Amino acid sequence: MISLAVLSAIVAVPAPSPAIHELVTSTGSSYHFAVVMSIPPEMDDVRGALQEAVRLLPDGTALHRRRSIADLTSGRGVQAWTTTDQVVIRATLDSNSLTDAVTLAYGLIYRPQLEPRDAAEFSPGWYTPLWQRLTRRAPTANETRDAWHYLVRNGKIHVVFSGPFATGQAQAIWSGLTDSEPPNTARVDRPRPDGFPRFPAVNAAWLDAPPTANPSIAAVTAMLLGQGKSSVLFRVARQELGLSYRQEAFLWPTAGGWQPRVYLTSADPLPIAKLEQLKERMLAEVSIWNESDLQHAKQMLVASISGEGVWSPWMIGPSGGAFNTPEDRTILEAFCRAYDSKFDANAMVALVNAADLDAVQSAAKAWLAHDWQVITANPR
Amino acid sequence: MITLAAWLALSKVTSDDIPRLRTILPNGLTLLAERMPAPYLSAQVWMAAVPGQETALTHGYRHLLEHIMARVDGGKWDQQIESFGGVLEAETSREGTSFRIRLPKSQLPVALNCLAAILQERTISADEVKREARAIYNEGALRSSFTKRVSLAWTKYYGEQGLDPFGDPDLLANAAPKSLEDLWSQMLNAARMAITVVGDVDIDNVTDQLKRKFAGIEARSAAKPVTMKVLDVTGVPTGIWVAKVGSPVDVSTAAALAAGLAIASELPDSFISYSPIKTDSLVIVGTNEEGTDRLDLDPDDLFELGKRLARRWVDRQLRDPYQAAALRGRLLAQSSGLRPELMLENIDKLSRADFVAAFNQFKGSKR
Repeated sequence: MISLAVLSAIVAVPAPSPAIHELVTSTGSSYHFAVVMSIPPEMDDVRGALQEAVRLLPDGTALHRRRSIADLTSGRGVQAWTTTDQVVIRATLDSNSLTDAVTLAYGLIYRPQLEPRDAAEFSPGWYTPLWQRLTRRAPTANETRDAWHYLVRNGKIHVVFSGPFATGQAQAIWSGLTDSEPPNTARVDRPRPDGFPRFPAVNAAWLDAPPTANPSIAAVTAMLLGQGKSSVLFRVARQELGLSYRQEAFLWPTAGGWQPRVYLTSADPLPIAKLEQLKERMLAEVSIWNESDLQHAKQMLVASISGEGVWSPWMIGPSGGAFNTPEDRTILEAFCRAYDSKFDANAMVALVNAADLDAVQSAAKAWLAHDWQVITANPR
Repeated sequence: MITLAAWLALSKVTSDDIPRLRTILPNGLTLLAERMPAPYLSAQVWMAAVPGQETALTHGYRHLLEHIMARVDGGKWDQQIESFGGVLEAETSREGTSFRIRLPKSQLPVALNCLAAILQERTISADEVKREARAIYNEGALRSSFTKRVSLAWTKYYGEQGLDPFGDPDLLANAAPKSLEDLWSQMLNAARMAITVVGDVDIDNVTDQLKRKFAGIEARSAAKPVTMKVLDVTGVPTGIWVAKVGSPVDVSTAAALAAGLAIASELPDSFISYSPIKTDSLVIVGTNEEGTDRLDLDPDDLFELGKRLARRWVDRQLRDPYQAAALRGRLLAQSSGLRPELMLENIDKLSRADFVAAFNQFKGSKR
């Protein structure tokens, strides 16, 4: 753990410049942006305050009130969330103005309002941030702001803009903003270790494998294990064992690549013994996968990359998997840039088609060799 | 059996230059084919609910049936559809039950064959009831606080008539298969169904295929809709505001949508809920912010924004094959005259006075 004095010294230096990336499209009239900010490891014990900042972020900035954001985004607003080690922000603007998109992204990073308001009941939704099981109490307004400013100064930031604009235009607008609205350089105290008071009203279990920067085999494996109603998880966890309503296997973005994750939620607590029974049944299913199953998974995956299909292993956020839409391509690109890669759809299709059954079965067995983790929150 | 006069109406409806063909078959079934450039198509069946007919002893039965029927042939159809990257989804809402397929545009026959397989009378086993009731029990754990408060508002307004179609998992676990089979027979009523196909398709060819496939569905005498009676319009749950509306194509509905969206744009963590029911419905706007019950907003200030947001909301549904097939299907199943374009017309001609009246209705719901 880095000491408070050292951290205070670090925050006195000017904020590093984010990496700005452009995805220029030839069609469409909307502008999209995605921001991916890596969370420094020393912030592990202030994740409650950071999560609170992320919750408040869509409320507005010094440059945009909430109403103005609603207008620019046609009521969709800004979405912000955390992954295991990243903060993600995204928005789509129908304003026909790249300047609006760049200014909004800039304002969210450097001029967020972060006005405190009462903590809501935490949504029992699907992708519950896993750090919450560690939390204890609500962060104060100062802790929330400090956590955000600390992140902005010390996390690596990648911003992707996409839409019908000329190459270099987004970067130029961003540079202009840096001159006219320079990032806040106020001193930032390191927030105290804190917590968030609410727990999701849901029981969740998950099982992770280490992240990979070359996820083609893991992607095919995820399809067979837990994408769709023909997947192992749907048939075994939901239909056979009655454990869950939603259950998926997917690749979760991290700063080091894509982390394979099996995830399910239940109305009842999930005892380890029951989960081990599920794992045993899943392994039995994996051992009888055949070429026809493999082909099925590849077709599903290739269809999702081409835009014809709906099953995607790239779990980019609360709304689910990434599809071949401008919005999702923007954020997929931001995640890949964060680990110095690019999302190349054609190359991914070639790699997926080359995956063989042995490799996929081995990947599934290695994935399932990891231990279950469980949240039991608000038990009935 | 309802006797429908031979009102075989083949009317080409064109708006926004999008080729669209609505057909009403002699059995009363409404078909809609629409051409929209996209790499995939959506084929959907919508079965209109009878407002106010869910009782404390049966609510959730439609939801349970939706679960059971979506597993047609034990998942064989899921396997086939998913192998093309597609999906079969189902939904039960206050206005109806739907089965919705998304597939690459070349796979229309698969979609239509699957829908035809679903729309059959069949025997239901006790095991199916038990398994899907269990799934609904687990589904309940994922329901948000917002959804629960919307449900509370409906029962506050309409009592038992406003019961949530999600249902009570304990009640569903003990549902008699025969009761479910009987309800399914009633729901298989051509006169209260619509089938919609939207995608990069030849609308005449699609319509011919739909006619061949679904002309045999019977028209049945529909249960008479219960007149929804409002019990109370005040004191709705904390953090939400309610406006009672009529048909989706009423001006007052357009006003409530515009006012609701404008209010939502001013609230933190906001949401808006609307079930486009032909007769009575509620537009509910709310926030997940704890303890927020005041609306210190100036409706005059919000009028233009509300109109813009409402128009863009409807527009957005109509630009995507899946969303367009859903919105058109949920309206057409209730009445072949209900069209989203009428909603847009109302939004465009919305007066400031209509907007302020709707705003005040939301505000008044807290008194």
